[in-house]
Amino acid sequence: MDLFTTDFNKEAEKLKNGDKNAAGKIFNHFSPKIFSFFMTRTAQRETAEDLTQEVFLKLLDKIGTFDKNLGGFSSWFWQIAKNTLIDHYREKKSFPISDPDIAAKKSLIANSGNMQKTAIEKSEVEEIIKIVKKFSDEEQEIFSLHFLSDLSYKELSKMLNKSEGNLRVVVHRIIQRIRKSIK
Amino acid sequence: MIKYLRENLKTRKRLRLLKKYFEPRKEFLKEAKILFLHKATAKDIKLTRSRVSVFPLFPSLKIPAYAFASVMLLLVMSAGTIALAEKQNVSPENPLYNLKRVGEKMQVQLAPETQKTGLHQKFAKRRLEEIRHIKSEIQKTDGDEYSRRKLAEKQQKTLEELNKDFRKDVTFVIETIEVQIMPEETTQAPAPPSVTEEPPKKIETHESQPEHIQTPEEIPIKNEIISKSIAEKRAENLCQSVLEMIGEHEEMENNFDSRNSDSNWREIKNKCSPVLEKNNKSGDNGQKKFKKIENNDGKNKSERNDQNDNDED
Repeated sequence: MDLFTTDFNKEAEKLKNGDKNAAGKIFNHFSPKIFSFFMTRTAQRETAEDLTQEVFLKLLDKIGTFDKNLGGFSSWFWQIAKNTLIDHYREKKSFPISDPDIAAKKSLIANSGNMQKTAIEKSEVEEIIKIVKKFSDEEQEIFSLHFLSDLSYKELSKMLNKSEGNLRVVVHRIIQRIRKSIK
Repeated sequence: MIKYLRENLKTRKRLRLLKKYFEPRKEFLKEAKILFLHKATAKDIKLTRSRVSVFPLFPSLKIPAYAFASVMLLLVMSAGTIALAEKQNVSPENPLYNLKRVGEKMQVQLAPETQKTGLHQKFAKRRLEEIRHIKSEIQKTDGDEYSRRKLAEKQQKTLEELNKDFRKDVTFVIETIEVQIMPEETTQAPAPPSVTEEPPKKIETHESQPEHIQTPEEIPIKNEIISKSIAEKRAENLCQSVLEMIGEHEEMENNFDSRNSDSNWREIKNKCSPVLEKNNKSGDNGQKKFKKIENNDGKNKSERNDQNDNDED
């Protein structure tokens, strides 16, 4: 059974009726991934938190319009997340990770309170960010969704309207570039 | 090969580190989850999407869309069934009969005051036909003793209700004649001669001189005569119709002798008789006036013919 397309459709139908368990399952599954997605794109922890919360509230507003016959819940939900990010860029003029402004990176590191901020780790993370910043927008999006939000090729394929083969090639190229850079 | 694996491992380690770096705070997730679950289980949010505003003046007053659609569908179906029952004039045994009666009540409620009398007259005729139909059915009844008795009881009950409704309709018609159509005939003295006698002379001159233009004083007098004549005729027609219906009803009830006629019918007949007598007495003057006016204006040809027939009689 395909968990991505089938099970969350069922949970979504239950959520329409105010099912607390279904809401809990959806939140537990999607919240860290969506946060990581916003984190890589906004480079600000507070902003990523606000946007994550906003996406889940939007989900409740729009869940009545979700039709499982038109597509999977996950793709539909990720589309809400992407639209929320676009709205955020429009309103706040915030910068994604690809923005050359160094303030983004500084903010990213300064706001992180979830790990031991050792000098080595910081430098390692900064090194990766530096490499990722050189990627194109599309590659950055695939990088954040695949490596940080743990989306499978199938999920990415549905979200980005690209074939799985194409995505595998892009991911392979990303890994190659990172490996070469951190030798 | 070892170098490749080492590089690969290093890359994976860095990515895991980055991923860990981008993880949300546990406190944030806990708070966000509580808020999300609270909102998800709140009924107002759950139903927001499927509600529609019914009344434009009160946009906040909303009902679920499916409920609104169901009610609308039910209304349309009921209206269609009522219209069908009304059109086919179904008999009391028909399952749609009650809907027909509902339709009649709605018609009476929605009709303007001037048309209510006509409706009650129409419905009284219907009740009379229905009474006749039930009586004919009683005579045809077959079957064993028990079923016949049961059916007879049911039919008797229906007859009682129909009689009651027939009386109500007839009484309404008579009261309307008394109150609205012929108030002067039943409650007041006849109009002063100056109003009734003067205008005909003027109109006669008008008849001999077709090019004569009416003066402003002539117009209201003429209109008054016309409306009075029409009201008299209408009252007379209604009374005749009602008396005919009562006669038919009495015939069916085997009340041929007027002494057996119940007090209610006698009262209604008494109310009608002055109207008919007055029209017969004042028939010559009033009808002549009316005829002349009608000849001048060329209006209400049908009524004029009726008047001529009455004159001949």
